[in-house]
Amino acid sequence: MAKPSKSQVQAAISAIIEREQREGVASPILHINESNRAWIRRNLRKHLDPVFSEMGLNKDKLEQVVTRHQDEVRHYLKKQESKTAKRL
Amino acid sequence: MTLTKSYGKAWANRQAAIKQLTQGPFVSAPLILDRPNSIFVYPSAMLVEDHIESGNSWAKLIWEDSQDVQYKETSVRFFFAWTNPFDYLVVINVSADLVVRGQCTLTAFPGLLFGGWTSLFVTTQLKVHLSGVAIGGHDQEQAIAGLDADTWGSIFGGDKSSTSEDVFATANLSLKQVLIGVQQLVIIETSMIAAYHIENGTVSLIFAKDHPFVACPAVMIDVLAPPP
Repeated sequence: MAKPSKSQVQAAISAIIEREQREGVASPILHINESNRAWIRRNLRKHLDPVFSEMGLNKDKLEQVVTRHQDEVRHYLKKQESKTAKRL
Repeated sequence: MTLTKSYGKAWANRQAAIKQLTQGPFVSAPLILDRPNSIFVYPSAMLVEDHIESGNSWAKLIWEDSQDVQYKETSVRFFFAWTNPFDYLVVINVSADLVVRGQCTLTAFPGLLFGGWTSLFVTTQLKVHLSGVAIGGHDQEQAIAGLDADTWGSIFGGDKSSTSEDVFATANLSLKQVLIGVQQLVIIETSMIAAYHIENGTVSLIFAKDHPFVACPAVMIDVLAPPP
């Protein structure tokens, strides 16, 4: 058998890359563990979401409150900048 | 192919290699593959620059992702080729150092009720490919880094959360007792894999500031064969 040519080596490497793109490179255990962790979080949300709705939580209103709070924090920090600069 | 099936094939090869070694005296001849035949980066957009040179082959990488994803793999792989030049079976021991130097940063943003979560695992592997069969890899994956960024929802006081880790490590990868057929082509693969999960957050990988970035200088092969 002759020594494989450059193109034969490259073809073998390409076949490996193609197979690994299909099957994944990392251990499937990593994928399984990550999927399990994601499922656990999703499951808690699935149960909490209707509870929040039942409690009469108005998401739009909450969103407005949080946005307002964040705006006020930004405004406050901006105002503090000059005071902080003076003290330091 | 499942992990169990691929491990089964690798195990069968190892059994045959040990049997081969017990059949008589053998001599050991070390040889070095000082440059890879190719470097493959996935996704390709992660590659900034790569370089192939005797004892100095590396890849510079930068990758940022903010798309929600349950599981995603990115990788840089170095492929070395060797052919058994003999008219008889040989057993090889393979080893390689993979050097990784860079920064990984994760961020999680708060939603209204629920917070974001991002996680990342960086691992290294050595595989020997023989006619479509991969030996090694999954079963001897070495962890380099593992990070999480997690936060609460805004109404519970959740704020942006970031975590960053400098990675500078040399993974000593090795695979022992692999049976190689007569004049068989062997592809040796060393790789760094970064696998992550994003749920309202970002992942940033920067392996492009300090040499050697992600590098595989060489692969050592110990050829165990009958004495001439």
